Amino acid sequence: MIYLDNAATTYPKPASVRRAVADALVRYGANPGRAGHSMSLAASEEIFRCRSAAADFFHAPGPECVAFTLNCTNAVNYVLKGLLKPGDHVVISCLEHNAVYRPVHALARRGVEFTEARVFPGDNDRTVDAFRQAIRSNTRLIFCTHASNVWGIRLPVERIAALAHEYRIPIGLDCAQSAGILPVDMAGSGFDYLCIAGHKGLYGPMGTGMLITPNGAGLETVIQGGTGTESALAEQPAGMPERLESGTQNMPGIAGLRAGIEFVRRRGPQVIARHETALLRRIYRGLSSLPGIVLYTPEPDLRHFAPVLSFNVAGLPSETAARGLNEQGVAVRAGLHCAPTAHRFMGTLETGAVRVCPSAFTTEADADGFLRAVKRLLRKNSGPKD
Amino acid sequence: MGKPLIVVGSVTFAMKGRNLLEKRGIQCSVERIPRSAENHGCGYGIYVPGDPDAAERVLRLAGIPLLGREKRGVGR
Repeated sequence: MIYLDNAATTYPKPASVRRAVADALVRYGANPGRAGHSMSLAASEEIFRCRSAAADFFHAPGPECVAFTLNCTNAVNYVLKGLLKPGDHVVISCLEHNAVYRPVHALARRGVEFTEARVFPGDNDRTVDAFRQAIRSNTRLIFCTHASNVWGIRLPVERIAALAHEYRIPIGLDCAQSAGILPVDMAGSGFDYLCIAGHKGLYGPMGTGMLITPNGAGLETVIQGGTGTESALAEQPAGMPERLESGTQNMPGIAGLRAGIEFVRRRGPQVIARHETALLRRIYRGLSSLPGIVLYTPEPDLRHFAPVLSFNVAGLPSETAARGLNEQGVAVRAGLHCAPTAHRFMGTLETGAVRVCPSAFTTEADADGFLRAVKRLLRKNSGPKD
Repeated sequence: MGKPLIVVGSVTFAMKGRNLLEKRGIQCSVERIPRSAENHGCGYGIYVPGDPDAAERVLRLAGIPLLGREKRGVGR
């Protein structure tokens, strides 16, 4: 199989991640942060090591700023629903995944207003200006994707953060497509909330994510429950990370996530990003030479794109094209990618698109194999029809 | 010297504090705190068998939230 659906989740996982998950099931089988016995404390140590690794990786003030979540979507919900109240206004971008758009839409029914700031791919000045124009006197939060999960379009989030702070507005980022690939520097750029998928660019298992913030105590909690601390109190603890971590954690997943973060750190996010972008450019050049292929973005470059690319086969529904590729052993995702706003932006809401995303493990042979499969699909599609 | 168990609440802060103290050569360990009238049911602390007052100063300077001091459990 040529797996190019890494924007959904990375595959394969590094051997170190697989080992860490298996080891955790044996060595850390007790519930962390609950009891005082040796195995519970050992499990707590492993959780702490992952928090510390994540805090270091994203330049957060400390491990206490890292709350583990089920995925990036949960983290996004904790921020949006924890911060926004009726009468507030939030600025998002026009490229948001439903992880952002749906909770914002739900909040709008409860009196929270929102504006979608237009993104101008390749023109960061205009994008920043669009965000500036969207700010109102009751804007309580700017929340946006770091990079589109459909088109790879990269937002100038460092400049948007500076803009937000100019107006004393906090900024949250959906880093689902960028964590582990593009630089995300909480200390350097002053991001207030980072929502991270553990299972994409950080190569952890599915079922892991993080909300990283020094301001967790200021969020109303969406979920309350047992935290292993202050149990006599009916109120959810005020302090991070327990405030945002109710119930038993995904211990094996978090152990795998730590191994994934270490894998990315050892290999180097920039090295991974350059590798993936080079592959995507190879794919792009191959696709652009084929008649019948519709491309919507320019040749990707890291300054303006995360390594994600979507295209269509003219006259063929995107899901049909993806099925045809799957029959040849190529795994891609087609349709709307849970991001109708991104498709509306590009005019592909009715057709969807076929998305390609490499990983650190994708090879040039994979890229060439993908292109051969597309050529065969085109030949088959252009053949005599009954 | 006072009670040797510095209560910090969460296991995260207990481990962060422990690491800080160990870097300064202060022997310590993370333990579950005994239930008392002052604490709210359960949590974690840092046991400092040597000089918990000095350890507490280090932790306070580092911004670790401190919730009080406890004796260790019965029999210790």
